[in-house]
Amino acid sequence: MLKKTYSIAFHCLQAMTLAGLIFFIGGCATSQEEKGAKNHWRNPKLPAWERGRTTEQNVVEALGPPSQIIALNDQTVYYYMQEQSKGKSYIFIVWNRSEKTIRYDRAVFFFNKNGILDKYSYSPEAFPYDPAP
Amino acid sequence: MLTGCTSISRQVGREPEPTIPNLKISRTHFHDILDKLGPPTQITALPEGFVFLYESLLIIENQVGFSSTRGVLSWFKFSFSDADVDRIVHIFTFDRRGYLRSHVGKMTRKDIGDGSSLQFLFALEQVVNTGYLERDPVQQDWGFMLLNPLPQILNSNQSLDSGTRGLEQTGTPTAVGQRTLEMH
Repeated sequence: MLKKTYSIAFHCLQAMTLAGLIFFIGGCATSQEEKGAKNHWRNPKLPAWERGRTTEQNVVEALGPPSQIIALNDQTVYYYMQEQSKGKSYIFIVWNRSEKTIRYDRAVFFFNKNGILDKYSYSPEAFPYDPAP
Repeated sequence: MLTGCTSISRQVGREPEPTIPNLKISRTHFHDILDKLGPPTQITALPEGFVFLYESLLIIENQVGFSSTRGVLSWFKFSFSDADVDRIVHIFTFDRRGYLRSHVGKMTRKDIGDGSSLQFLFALEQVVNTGYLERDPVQQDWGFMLLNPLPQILNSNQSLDSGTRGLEQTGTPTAVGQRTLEMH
């Protein structure tokens, strides 16, 4: 009887130790990364673009070099993009999870063959603007 | 035997709407698409006009791990994993005046593979290779194209990344079509 009591107590202690190890040895981690052009198009002090008047030079002076320039047949496209990725990991041995989300803040400008703005568009997803260089 | 579960997810891009209402061939203008959806993932010129591609991916890998309580084996786990990708794609083609010529939108779920591995007990590693689905967007590398290996430079005029020679969905195998000349 005493032996059985000790056995049950030992198994309980073993289970509690394992549960403790899982919760105390487990860990979590986060990561963040940013790539691409700085999102100056989100600058609230930026002058408003005017279709039919703003030029390629105006855009480049305000936003810097684009991520990509595309030659459409009668138009030129300036494509700006900033990428942000954020990751989180949780490790608890019995249950683990890792997730990573990659988001994009984009701006495109369509210019006619005279270099005048025809259309521009920003992505619905906007990253906060940091004025620091 | 101890068991554990792991879930690894990767969301690439913001999910566009799976269906887009009020599209009219020859009447909807690309300005309307930009106003509705914002800038596309990729743009390319075609001889008869141009194309917008909108794309987002959700990659999920689920793992089940088994360990042992015997000696050094208790520090390792044997994992079985399976990965799927949910993809939403919209492709719009426009004529030279910018009016819609065609549109296709699709939401798919695809099994992209499974695998098994022996890992350290506290490790959290992907087993299925999904790197080809998570490569950088073409815009990030566009300015460096002339620094690529020689077979890719020689093909740069026909490159699918140039923005003037077509486009492809993320993860398209490189052993087909125009990419074969790049000798990946």
